[in-house]
Amino acid sequence: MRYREDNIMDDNVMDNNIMNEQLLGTEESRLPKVIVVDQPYTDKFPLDEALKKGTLFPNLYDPYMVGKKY
Amino acid sequence: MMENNNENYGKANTENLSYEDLLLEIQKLEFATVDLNLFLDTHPDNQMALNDYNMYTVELSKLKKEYRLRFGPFANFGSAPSKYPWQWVESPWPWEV
Repeated sequence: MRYREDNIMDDNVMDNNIMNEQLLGTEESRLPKVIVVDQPYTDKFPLDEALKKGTLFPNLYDPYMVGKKY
Repeated sequence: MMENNNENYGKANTENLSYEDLLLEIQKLEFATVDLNLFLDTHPDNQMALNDYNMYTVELSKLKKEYRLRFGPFANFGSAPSKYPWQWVESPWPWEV
């Protein structure tokens, strides 16, 4: 009986490891992950400026600039 | 950095705007409303964003109505009935604006 319980526990640990591998990848092969930061509602560009900049939200305005470090 | 600029929409006199200026006002409001639409899709309970969306939408409807009355239908179909003859072809081509 004891032996059987150990086996069940081992099976659960193994299932968890497989699940983790599927979710996170292994050390050798990490899967890509996407992290999205919540956008706070703060201020807005004046509408003529927004139309030219391509966004209403100053906190999303981040145009690509040659030479800028990203 | 930026003041909260609502530009007093709804209070400005738009009746004397030229065709180009009225169209530009409509384009600005359409851009603002679609950007707020995208924000609200992921933040449906943000009251401030919803207030701004509603304010701009009311103004946009007003300006589109004014456009229709002065210059004919705003879109090629579905936006308003047409007088005879078919009005859409009388409006300028995009490159004529």
